[in-house]
Amino acid sequence: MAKKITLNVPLNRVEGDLDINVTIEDGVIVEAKSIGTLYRGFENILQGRVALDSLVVTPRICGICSVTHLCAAVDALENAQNITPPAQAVRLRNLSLLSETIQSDIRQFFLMFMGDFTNEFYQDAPFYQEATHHYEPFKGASSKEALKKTTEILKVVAIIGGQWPHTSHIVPGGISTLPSLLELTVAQNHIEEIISWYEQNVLGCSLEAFSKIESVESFMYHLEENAETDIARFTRYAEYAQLFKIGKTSQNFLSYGTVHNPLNPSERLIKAGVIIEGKFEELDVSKIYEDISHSWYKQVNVKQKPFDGVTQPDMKSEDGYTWAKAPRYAKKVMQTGPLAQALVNGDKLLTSLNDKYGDCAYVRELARILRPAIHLKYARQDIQGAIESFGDMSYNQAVEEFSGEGVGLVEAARGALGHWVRVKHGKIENYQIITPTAWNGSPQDLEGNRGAWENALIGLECRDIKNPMEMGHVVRSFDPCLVCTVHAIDMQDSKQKYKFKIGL
Amino acid sequence: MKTQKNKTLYWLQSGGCSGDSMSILNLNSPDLFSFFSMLSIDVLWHPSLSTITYTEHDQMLEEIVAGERKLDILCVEGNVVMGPDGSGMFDTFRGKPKKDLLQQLAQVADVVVAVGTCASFGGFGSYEGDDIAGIGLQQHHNTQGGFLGKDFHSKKGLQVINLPGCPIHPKALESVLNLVARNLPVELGANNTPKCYYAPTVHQGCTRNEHHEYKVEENMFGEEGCMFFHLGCKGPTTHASCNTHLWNDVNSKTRAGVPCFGCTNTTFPHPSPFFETPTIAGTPLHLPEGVDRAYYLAYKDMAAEAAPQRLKKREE
Repeated sequence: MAKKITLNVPLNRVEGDLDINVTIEDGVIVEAKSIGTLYRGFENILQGRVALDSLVVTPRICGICSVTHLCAAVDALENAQNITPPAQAVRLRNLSLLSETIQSDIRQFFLMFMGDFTNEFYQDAPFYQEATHHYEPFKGASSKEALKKTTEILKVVAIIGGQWPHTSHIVPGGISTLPSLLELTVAQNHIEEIISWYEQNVLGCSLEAFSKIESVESFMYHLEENAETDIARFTRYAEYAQLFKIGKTSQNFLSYGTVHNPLNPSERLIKAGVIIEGKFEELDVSKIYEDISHSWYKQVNVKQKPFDGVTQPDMKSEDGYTWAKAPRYAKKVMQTGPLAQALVNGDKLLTSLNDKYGDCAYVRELARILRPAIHLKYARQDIQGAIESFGDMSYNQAVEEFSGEGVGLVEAARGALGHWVRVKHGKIENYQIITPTAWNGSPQDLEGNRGAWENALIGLECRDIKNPMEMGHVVRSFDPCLVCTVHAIDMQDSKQKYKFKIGL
Repeated sequence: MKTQKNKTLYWLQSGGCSGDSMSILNLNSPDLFSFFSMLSIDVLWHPSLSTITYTEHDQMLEEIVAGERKLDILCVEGNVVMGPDGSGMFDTFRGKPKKDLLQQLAQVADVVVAVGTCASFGGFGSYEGDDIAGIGLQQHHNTQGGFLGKDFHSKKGLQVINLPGCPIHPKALESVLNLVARNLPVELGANNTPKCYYAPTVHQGCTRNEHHEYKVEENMFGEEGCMFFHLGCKGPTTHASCNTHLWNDVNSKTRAGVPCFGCTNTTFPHPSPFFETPTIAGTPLHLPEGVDRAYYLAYKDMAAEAAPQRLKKREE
């Protein structure tokens, strides 16, 4: 007789509140449901406000990627009005977004992921003392240093935009300010300081040298030669914890691309696209829809296009187990984030790692801490460009009342973020947001496909249900952000209004 | 009773965006982790940072609520979610409304600190018709009371210390914890905010003040002048040290051409447009505190006449 239990695990060190409801049979997960336990109602807060207010409201959706939401909001308004920002504004926007993303990647890796290896779960592991020395929460030497460096990179955003988080310096038609040459050169120093720390401590070589490492073999050789780097330590711990084997979900990846070409802003230097079952395709936004078959909404239109997204609660929908909608791309469940961004952009090293080990928890998390190696190079390029073009116009548009609809697609630290806005006589008529965590942490769809990390949990061995470390590794490798899940909530009882079953 | 030499701190996140947590991580000299250790503050739990298991966390909460484990400082980030229909089930912890846990923790904490505008006054989701029906810990917009009620006092006999800001400025938390850790009194001003951070206005120290002085006011982004008359800047009517203790040690929104949105105010995010100044006869409806409108108008007209060319040069 198989021993079957259902377990509800509140997962911390994610942004916001996340419960994972799992059924475990003989120590192996056989069913998994991802439950955001916090509903925030932001899309409704936006309705009826003047269009520009989205620049103030949407950054407040997420304290860790507020610039990203700002970029998406502005992108959507510019798209609706056919506005092209000037080159200097594009450079400063790129720098703002890159800095925020670099900060997020570093904080997630050091503060939210590596801390797990200092948990008592690993007290018999050969690396336990070393991991504790480097990554113990509040105390670890490397984590403390990494935290300081993230405050440095955020100074770049503050120099350009006033503060981080929650500023609104990016506006339709450009940016709100002209940093002085002194400020731009100070920003350049901050960027160079981060590069130098990242090269020495995380990579073990220069950004240029690292970009020449393209195969799994040369990467592993590099780690042996540079054993005292964060990526080498992570790889050793990951091997012990079997992160090479767990956490696979699919070979479907989505990236909206990032880093705009200042001279041709519609071009993204890290390209957009999708990979479906291993094959690259151009991104076709019209293939995105939200499936509400397992969500608590009126089932009149089970597959909704974002522009027409409606949010009509209906507790009688029989298969519903969440208020989260399930975004899909041409019927496919997509995963999004640093790994997707790298693979879609044709990154050679991550492609060969993915070819060899699949989209396991190790490769997914590694992609995150390797991404600054790419992003810092673009930051270096854009700050140099901004200094050389100092004095150029960075705003070209007067604010005008308008009607229209637009879509803003941006790569957040966690992956593809989309804002869909419809404006009528200057006021927001409808605003729909599809966040990266909506993609990665979605519920099942009409066809019965589980969301990306729900699926990654199936078959996972869970050695200690009081301390389900393996689940933590797998889900955290997606870097969940639940505060962004603007309309997610769990209501499980199909008969009685407002009776919630969360837990055993 | 387990004795603790150090002060203990528990950080509860409710209806919010984690922006306050992200902001305090930007504390510099000392960095946040060194800061806690220098002040001998043990962080029992922070949802973004702690690594204890969920079962250990459950156990810890039981001990705190039962009074078996001392809780010196309770920090709450995000508003108290009351929706739907007063149930609080839009924000749950272990299947129960988080507001119930908050109520229990507030009863046993020596000091309760509302971190950010949502926790202080309601903030996002606190307006009529907002689904989550969020309220502040001890104040809802301008009205005393909030979730804990106007008579609430913590074990140490204190009302909730409000640290508004969207997000909180790291210095606001630093200044209060500096005092609490040293057992020094925290002097509260309007809306139970500590005077040490909230006495100045955002306007004080703004680098655009000379433009303001001479009524060189901007109509569009990307310029160097003042944003009070047309672009919705609330710097002169908002209390916070944004321009005296700079953000991320380097800048502020108003210095970077972004109007102050009044994010420490009790009614943030008020439904009126952010980038527009409501006016009467061309003058802001809300004048700086204590200013007489007639004198202000006369002063502004004369100031505009006296404005030097070097400030006005962009104006056609």
